[in-house]
Amino acid sequence: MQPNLFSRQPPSFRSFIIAIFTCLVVLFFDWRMPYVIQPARDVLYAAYNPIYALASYPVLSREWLNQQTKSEAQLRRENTAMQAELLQAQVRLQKLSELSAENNRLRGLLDTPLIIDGRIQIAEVIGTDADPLRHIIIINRGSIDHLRVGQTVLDDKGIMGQIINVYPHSARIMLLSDKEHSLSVRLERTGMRAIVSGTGDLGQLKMEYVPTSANIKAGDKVFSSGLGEHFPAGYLVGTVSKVSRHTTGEFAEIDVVPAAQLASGHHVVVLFSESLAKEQPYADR
Amino acid sequence: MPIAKLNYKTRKDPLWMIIFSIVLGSVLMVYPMAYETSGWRPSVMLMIMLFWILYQPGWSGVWFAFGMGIFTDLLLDAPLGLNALSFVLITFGIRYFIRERRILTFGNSWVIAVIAIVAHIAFLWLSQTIAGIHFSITRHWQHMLTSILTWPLLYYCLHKWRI
Repeated sequence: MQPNLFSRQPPSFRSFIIAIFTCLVVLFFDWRMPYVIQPARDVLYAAYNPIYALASYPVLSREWLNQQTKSEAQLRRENTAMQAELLQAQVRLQKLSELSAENNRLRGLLDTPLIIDGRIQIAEVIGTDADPLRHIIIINRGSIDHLRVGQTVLDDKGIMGQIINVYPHSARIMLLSDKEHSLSVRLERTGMRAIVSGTGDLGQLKMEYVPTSANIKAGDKVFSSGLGEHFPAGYLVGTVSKVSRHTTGEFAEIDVVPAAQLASGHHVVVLFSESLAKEQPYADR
Repeated sequence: MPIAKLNYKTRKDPLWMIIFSIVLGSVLMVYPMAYETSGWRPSVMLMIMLFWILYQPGWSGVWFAFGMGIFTDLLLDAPLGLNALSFVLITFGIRYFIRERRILTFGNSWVIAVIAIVAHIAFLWLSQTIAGIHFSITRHWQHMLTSILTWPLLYYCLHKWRI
């Protein structure tokens, strides 16, 4: 390879021009016809899966190390606390199953067969999107586990977001706080319908197009409404934290704090149930 | 006429090292970090590309830069071809301007890397501004700085595979 070091040949103009031209063609296709590029992107995302897995390995191993180095006393303490919690949860569950049964009976009266408990899939968060301006996380379940685009993702506190891409062993989830994300909601206190959108800030959402005269105040709980047949109804989205009414504007500025731990969740639940409108075939009566 | 000689043996075949460095670089590019610290993440792919362009011109040229650019675009979910265009332009610029004087001491390579990194940021700024996307200078000078400062580290890691 020594001759290359002192080669005086000018670089090849022809391959340079072809490369530039190819770049521009690819940019054009990506800009005007993204669906042409999309299959290639999908295939390569699947190929990148090992890279993402490798990148998340140090984080996972740190957690594993934390688990390993816990002292016995700590584990015992934790165990006791968890048993107490389990007992509490079981008591609540009994009540819930009773309520569920009652609900089924009542719905039976209305002749609307509704499945209360849909199938769920628990998944682990294995990465975040490389672009810091997007709020997208990656989980370790994919089309092998029958995940589909559009499914709702929850954690133990509330709705986290929805699946936007599915690959064989992973899926990408757009969080509620992403700037491009919106969902239809209902206020618990008044039943008012509204739209909640992301702001690009993990700890804050905003409620849009609510007139200044609306009956809404800080502390109101916000639930998903199931309208638009995308998210199932009745799951907690967040809490209204601030309402500012400017006399100049037609709409109030309303901040909502998300209930789910968007910034820190580690395990998520993917919901398989359909939205309310699909679950209730006789809802239009 | 005495010629400056490298005082260590160079490896014959850098292909596996090129592949390994790209894989490692892409892992570093997607390694999960907090939003505040991720601003300081150096542009590893650009630097690895620059190193092989400078020190293995027989193996890597304009098409190598093109491939690396497309790979980076897909990895970062950027508009496909944006980084590729920038990489190709930088590669050709470097090749064109140093074709008569390939005296690649470490200091010279650092100067070239600094100019290339600044050119890359400038190109991204220009293209984003033309496309009407807000380009935050406060977020981009950070990784420009860390890229420039980590070049010696990269050189130290890879210099056994230079010609």
